[in-house]
Amino acid sequence: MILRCMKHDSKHKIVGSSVPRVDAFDKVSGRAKYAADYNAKGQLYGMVCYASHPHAKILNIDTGKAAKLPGVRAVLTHEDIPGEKSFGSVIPHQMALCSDKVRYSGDVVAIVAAESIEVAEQAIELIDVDYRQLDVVSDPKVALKDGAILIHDENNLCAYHKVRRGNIDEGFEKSDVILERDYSTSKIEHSYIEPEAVLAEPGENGGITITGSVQNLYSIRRAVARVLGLSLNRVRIIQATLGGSFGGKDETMSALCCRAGLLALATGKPVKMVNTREMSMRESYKRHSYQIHYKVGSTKCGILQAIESEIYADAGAYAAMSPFVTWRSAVHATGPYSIPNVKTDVYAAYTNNCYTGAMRGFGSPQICFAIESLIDELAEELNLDPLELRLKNILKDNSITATGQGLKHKVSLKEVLDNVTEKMGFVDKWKQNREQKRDTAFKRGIGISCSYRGISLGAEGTDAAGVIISIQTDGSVILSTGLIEMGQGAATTISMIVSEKLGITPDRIRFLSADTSRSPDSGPTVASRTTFMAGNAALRGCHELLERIKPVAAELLRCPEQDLLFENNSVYAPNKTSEGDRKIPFSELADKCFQKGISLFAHGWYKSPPTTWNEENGQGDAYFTYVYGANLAEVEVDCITGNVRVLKFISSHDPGQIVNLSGALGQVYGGVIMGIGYAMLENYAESEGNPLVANFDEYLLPTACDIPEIETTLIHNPDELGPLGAKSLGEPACEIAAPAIANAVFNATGMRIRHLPLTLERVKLGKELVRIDSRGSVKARGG
Amino acid sequence: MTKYKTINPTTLDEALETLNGCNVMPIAGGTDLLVKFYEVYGKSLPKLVVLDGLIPLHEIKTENDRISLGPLVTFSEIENSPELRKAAPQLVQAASVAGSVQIRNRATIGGNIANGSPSGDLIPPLYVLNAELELSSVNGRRSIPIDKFFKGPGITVLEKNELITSISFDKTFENGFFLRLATRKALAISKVSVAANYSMQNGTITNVRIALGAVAPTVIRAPRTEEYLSGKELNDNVLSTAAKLIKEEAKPISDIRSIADYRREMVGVLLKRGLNGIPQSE
Ligand SMILES: Cc1cc2nc3c(=O)[nH]c(=O)nc-3n(C[C@H](O)[C@H](O)[C@H](O)COP(=O)(O)OP(=O)(O)OC[C@H]3O[C@@H](n4cnc5c(N)ncnc54)[C@H](O)[C@@H]3O)c2cc1C
Repeated sequence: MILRCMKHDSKHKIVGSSVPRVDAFDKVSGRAKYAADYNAKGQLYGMVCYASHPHAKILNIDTGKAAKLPGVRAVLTHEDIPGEKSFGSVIPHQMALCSDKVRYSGDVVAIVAAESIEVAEQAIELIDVDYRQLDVVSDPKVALKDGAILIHDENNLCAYHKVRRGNIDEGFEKSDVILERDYSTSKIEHSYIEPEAVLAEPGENGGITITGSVQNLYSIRRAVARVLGLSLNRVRIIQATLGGSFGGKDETMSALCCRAGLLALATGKPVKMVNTREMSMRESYKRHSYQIHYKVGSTKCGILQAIESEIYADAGAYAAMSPFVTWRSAVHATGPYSIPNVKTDVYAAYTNNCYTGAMRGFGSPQICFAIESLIDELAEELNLDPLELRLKNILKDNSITATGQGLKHKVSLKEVLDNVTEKMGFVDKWKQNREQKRDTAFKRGIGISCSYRGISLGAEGTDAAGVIISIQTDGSVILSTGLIEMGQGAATTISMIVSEKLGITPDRIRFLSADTSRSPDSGPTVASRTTFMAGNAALRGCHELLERIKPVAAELLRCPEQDLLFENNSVYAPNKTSEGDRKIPFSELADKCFQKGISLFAHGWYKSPPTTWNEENGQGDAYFTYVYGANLAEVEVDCITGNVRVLKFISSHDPGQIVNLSGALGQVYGGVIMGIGYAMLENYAESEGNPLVANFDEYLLPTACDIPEIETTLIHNPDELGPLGAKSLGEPACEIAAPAIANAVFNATGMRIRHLPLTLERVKLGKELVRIDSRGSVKARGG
Repeated sequence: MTKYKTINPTTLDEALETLNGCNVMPIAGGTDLLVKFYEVYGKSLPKLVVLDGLIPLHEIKTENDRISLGPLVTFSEIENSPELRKAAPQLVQAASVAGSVQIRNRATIGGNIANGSPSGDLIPPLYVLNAELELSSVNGRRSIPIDKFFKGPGITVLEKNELITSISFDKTFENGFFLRLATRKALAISKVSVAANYSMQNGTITNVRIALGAVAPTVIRAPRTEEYLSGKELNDNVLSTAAKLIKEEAKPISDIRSIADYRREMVGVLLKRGLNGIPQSE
């Protein structure tokens, strides 16, 4: 893997360098304790009884036989829930245990606690549920038709967002070329290596403590408190070391925590619940499949005039994060381009499919695939190369976005595009590839894609976070925050920022797992917001601490405060004191402060800059800042078998300021690899509400053998809002891989594939489809 | 493994004696069996007769021009045998593209055959090598040609108390290939595979045997295509006709791994590529 780093600055000592992950040794040596590694004396094992049909009325649940099985301690149904039966951050209708009906095959109607897993499983088999089957709704477009079977009490529209800018009709009037295209993407499983697990322990205070594989502790706590009928301060959620999440351990974990909590309170015993991979696949929410229709208008010379889009997302049985996910899609639907006339409509519809929610990208991978394919298709119509068309239309400094937001920061889109295309000589190579002999079986192709991405939550909701920094009397530091380490490297990144500010080495810092009773509610660890939000909060905490300890240091060194330098676990005033470069160890300073009764504990709180949104026209400053990225993929297509080999990736991103270089590279590599899975292999297929894949023998992910060389160029473009200039990287790295691959396949073969994934059958039979496929409505006027 | 009850015989007789009992089952590398057991996790399972301790069954033996493989020979051992590389190139090619390094280190040839999957990658090569299987039980031994061994997907003539004790075939001094298509580069089951063995004499092809994997309830030979090719010069016309013929001989279905039409089409493609000497693309 190759890295090029633009203008790495030496302003910082720690930030910007490569620091080994602070949790690496624990993870590779087996010392890390994952949720399933926790046990408590006398614990019981919980198990769930799944719905037998994806859509059915529950007529009766008979738990009598199960309850009588020796070793069974509790069999619970919705009737045993002390609080509300449902939960949900946006729409609280997700059933902890179903009461009147089941809405997807991962719904749960009863739960069992028993002395062993085997007994719990046997008990589940003994539960008799009478159902009256209902018609199944499996297509989001059908779900929105009049007279469609209802999944919830009201209509099947889960969310709707629109963006209106300029005058769409006039935009198309001014266009010489208009293109209409349909794209679709498949449903994706997060595929975290660790399936969900919890240990729920009843507390002395009538409350409950749950240790689990949780991503968003505070929303999970709200769900548990609501369902168990407890106040928030009696529900304590502790995060175990997390074996991956990618957005996936939120509502799924709320459900599991509620169920384990119910069993623990009912039996008075600790209850452990660990999902098998099959349970996780069946029950856990997915990335939405989208059906996308675009209409784009452009002048002859390639100046975009209008984009109209109609987008349908499959929300599945429950709302979960669908309203926010689809909002992000609406904001980004026209891609990183200046377009005067925009009409965007995004719908999320309930179906009886597995429900969908947050997953790395959060409504952008679908959009990026479609819009970046569309731009290439338009370039082809206009006889321009894909780079030229992009460069004519991309967002620049002070450009106005589709939602009417003026970009006040340095927009680095051209730079990232240059980075992925220049060295390879993109345009020449792209043209050469187009002229490959018709009869050769193996053809090479290159393709590009780019994106802009609003960071953090934006106008989705309140956006604030806190970090607690506690200096110990030996100068070591304990860090804790409500935002979490889930494998993405947050523990290391936040430690590095604190390390930079306090002048101590990262090994002197210990980052604690989050605990709802001990760390401040900082919202969810999502939306690539952790470095930005927790980083800024940490800086405030550091600032507060420095204000308190500097006077002590200045007194010790007999120098003015502004001459102090905190560096390498000590403080000194270079060439400013009579004692020359005398250094006071940070530990000594900490101890002195403590002796003097100075607080070494600080809580830094950061609230994001304001954003605005007008629901009526979909206009506003949707996010406070944006990041930019571009990809180039090179493929070799076996035109006879449809086999696509990804040979090379070049990826360029603008993370603002790199914090941990090796962590940043890891994000890019992992993002590209996840994007390759999205493009080439993955599909959580369902038929009439029933999942067709149960495990990784059939849901195929890329293996190490499928990964190409990945060349990365990171841009240094500090953002005035970011902590030390840092923005975000995790999601952009993932969202633009698929379109680069599809565009490269077109470059190789002249064949446009508009539906993911690009399996051999799709590529091969897609070629046959081209013959009967109507080529869309191309309208050439005035020339 | 501690979950499972096992018996560990050290001689063949002991193993056969044990297998004559009730509710027992042989296990070799376990790469098929443990997956099946996982699916019925918690249910009562048979006792496993661990074959690993039967040292002679691990051997690759050569006698004159005949090779015999013990059933416990692994894919990795086949892949790395210089002898087999010459004497059974299609078998070596199949062994080296299956599974992953970890799977190949465990998976055995006997297990691949006994499991009886139409997509078992070693089976088409063994068809075109005219392999003979030796089956043993407390009642004695019998010999059976490989193409008489399979009855349907996962169904074979193997009796409950029988073991495959040897797989033998004549060294081929001829040409051979094995080609397959799968969804990803490693750890993927074949969508379709083609194996062949043939001689080239003065530009014409003779002694041609072709077998197809994953396109019928069992691995099948392609007799009409073989007959057509026999004695022909390998030019584009001949290859195209052969590809057309072999597509008719395949009886594929659509399933999670592929689509029937695709499989049928690819049988012809792989045959052409094999005969043209285009290697397995990775
Ligand atoms: C991840 C993964 C990937 C795989 N990829 C491939 C692939 O690409 N190609 C492929 O062909 N296969 C593949 N397989 C399947 C499997 O590895 C092979 O079929 C392998 O050859 C089975 O051999 P084994 O020794 O592991 O059999 P086991 O699992 O030990 O046994 C399989 C069956 O054969 C019986 N048996 C074993 N030995 C004998 C004997 N000597 N006599 C009688 N009965 C016997 C057992 O009782 C059992 O019923 C894969 C499996 C996995 C888990």
